[in-house]
Amino acid sequence: MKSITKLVLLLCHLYLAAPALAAPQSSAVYTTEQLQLLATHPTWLKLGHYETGFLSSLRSEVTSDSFFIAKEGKSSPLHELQATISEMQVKVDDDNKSAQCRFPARRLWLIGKLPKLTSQLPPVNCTEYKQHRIDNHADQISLVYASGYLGNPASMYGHLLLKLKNNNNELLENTFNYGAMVPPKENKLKYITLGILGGYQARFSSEEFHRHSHIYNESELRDLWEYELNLTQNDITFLLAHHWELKTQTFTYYFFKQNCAYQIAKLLELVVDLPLMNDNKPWVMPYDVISGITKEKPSGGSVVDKIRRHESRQESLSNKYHQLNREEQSTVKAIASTNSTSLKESLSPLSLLEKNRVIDTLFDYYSFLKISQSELSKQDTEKKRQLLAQRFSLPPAKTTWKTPNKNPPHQSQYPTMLQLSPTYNDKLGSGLQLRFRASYYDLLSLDAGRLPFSSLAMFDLKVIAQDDKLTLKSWDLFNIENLSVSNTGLAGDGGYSWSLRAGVHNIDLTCNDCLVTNVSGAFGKSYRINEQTAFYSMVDGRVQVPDRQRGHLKAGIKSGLVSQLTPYWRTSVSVGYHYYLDNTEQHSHSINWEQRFGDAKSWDVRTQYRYDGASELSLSYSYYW
Amino acid sequence: MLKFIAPVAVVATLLAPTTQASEQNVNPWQHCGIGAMVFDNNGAAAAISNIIWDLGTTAVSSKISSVENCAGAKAKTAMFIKQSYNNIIEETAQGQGEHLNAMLDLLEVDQASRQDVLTNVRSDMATVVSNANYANTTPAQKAEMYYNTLVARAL
Repeated sequence: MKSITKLVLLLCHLYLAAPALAAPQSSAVYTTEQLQLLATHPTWLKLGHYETGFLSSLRSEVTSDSFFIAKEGKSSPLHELQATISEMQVKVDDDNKSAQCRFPARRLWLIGKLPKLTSQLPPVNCTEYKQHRIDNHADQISLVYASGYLGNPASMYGHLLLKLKNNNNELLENTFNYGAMVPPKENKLKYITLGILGGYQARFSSEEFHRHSHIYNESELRDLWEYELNLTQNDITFLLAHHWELKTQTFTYYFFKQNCAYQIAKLLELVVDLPLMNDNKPWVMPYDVISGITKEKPSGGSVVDKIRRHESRQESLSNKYHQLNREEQSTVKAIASTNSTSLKESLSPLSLLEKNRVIDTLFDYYSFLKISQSELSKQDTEKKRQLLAQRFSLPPAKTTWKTPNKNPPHQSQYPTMLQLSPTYNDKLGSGLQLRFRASYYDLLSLDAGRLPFSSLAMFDLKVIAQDDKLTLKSWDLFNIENLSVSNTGLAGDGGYSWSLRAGVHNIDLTCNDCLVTNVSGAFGKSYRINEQTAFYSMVDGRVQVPDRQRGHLKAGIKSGLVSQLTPYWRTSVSVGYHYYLDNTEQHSHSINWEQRFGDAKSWDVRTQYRYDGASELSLSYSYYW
Repeated sequence: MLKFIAPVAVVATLLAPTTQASEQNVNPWQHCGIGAMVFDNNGAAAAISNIIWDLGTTAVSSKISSVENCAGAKAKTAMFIKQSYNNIIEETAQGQGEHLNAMLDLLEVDQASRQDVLTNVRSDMATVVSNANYANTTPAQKAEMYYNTLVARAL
């Protein structure tokens, strides 16, 4: 549908522009028919970032005027094409300001499509572009995905960037990043509002990889997943040439669609013969792009050559800790415990290799602690100093660690859900429930590459058809839950849990037309029972209007367990007891037991038993895309 | 601070203020404003508006040195050390690591002399770290000391 609209609009443009094309310039270079065909070519439209909006006609998404040669170039691919071909044949005093030097990707594409153009182009020496090519030399390009981060609403869905691989030190390899130009120290609420409504301009930037490694791995404790791509050198040259064209250009930033994932996908789609965004959704998420890039090409084979993980400090600590033998782990625990003062004494029974392994693990621990607690205590700062001094006193030696085999993030479930559930309620009877969740995942989802034991649900809508009536059952604007279980048992490493939720829900399961608007939050402890199972207990509270003869303030305790019993079977059970603080005669208990069966990205089957004043049973089929 | 570095002659010498800001003699901490910089770790959105890696802008904002002086290998190395000091000091204690390699690449230290440079820097920093007052210095002071030690040993 979208492509038909685009085609109709393009034909309109061509019709309106016909008089201007009657006498083509450089008559030997192209014919009018050729020009009209090229102006609708997908690559030309991609090079000009032409898109049709929901209500608007075809228009480039580039907002800066310097990107266009033709006066009407922003809204007319045809005029822009014609002007580009003409301008490229003009010799100017400063070669760097010529169209050939400013638009090397357009040049490359045009001489491929119009072979006669080559002989018409004046020789130019694009010194600035040449330097850019040297600075951004790449033998291979990687798509890098930064995993989601619950500490910042703008980062919950992850981030994407491109990495230019060459033979340099990896930390010094260049990257292309895209983001909004946000003033320093912007108010977070303003940042979110303007980010959603298009209040910021955005552009590409280039930074060495160590900047991202520092921010994501070290400061935000997020894993980076690197998808190394199989592109030809010509593809790489073309992509880098277009990046040069965009280097100083701006776009309008929209958090939900025209975001980092969208622009990085647009850049890659120039050379990758795969749709990297999901056209069935009006928003674009980084996950969509990594999921798209791993699909098989129409011509067969995969664009992805290899997938690598750059682990966060927290992951590095966990991995190292679990590779230590029992004595080494005990030593780490002894040193990390607040009572420990004699580092030398603790380390003395160990061999040289064991000492190094213990100290390196503790380096990760204190680096992690510094981030998770904002700053190290005086005692921990001194311990870190002693550890450094100890390691300096030992001969230099590298410790080796196994790389754990973790499932990459594109293997997790698709983020958008449509669910159909036959439901039976012992007070209200049977009904058919329909659920739509815009994004992203819950405690039962396949969670490769995501925070384990966490839930991040946005725009989760449930309606129920019962007694020939369709009623709203609940609507969550957001529902975030994080069971930050400890991976090591060391002090400060997780062990807490929290949740935050806002929306509209029936006050309990005894009624259908009893919606209340509410905001709730919880905080408590969580424990990892084994690799696949977590237990949690939280104190929670809820503010709601109207009171529905019960109350406005509800508080209580909730405990639960989440466990992946097999890859195909995950279960989550929770029980709670709550009082209304402004009407203490009202109190009740609740139970929620939900299970997921199946390990496919696009579907699963779930069962749910709930009790909250009434019992309710449901069997669901969920489709994800 | 002065009390702390007094026993470490080599470091004390290195910390002496530089009076001239020629290209070869530039101290990025004093001449490029790196000492006063606060690294912004506010994620991807902030990264693009973050000008600290735009060396030209940094130098202009310091109003002390010329753009060229602060766009060279030494200034870049200094900024890298300030950003990644935690990784660098850990890897120096371990004797090797990718941050150390990147640091030596940035400073353009030739391959043949790298092992010697690292051995000497390791020895100097061992002395610095073994002093109990090390724990009381700020991250910026630690990074500056490391940079001065490295430059003295490498150039």
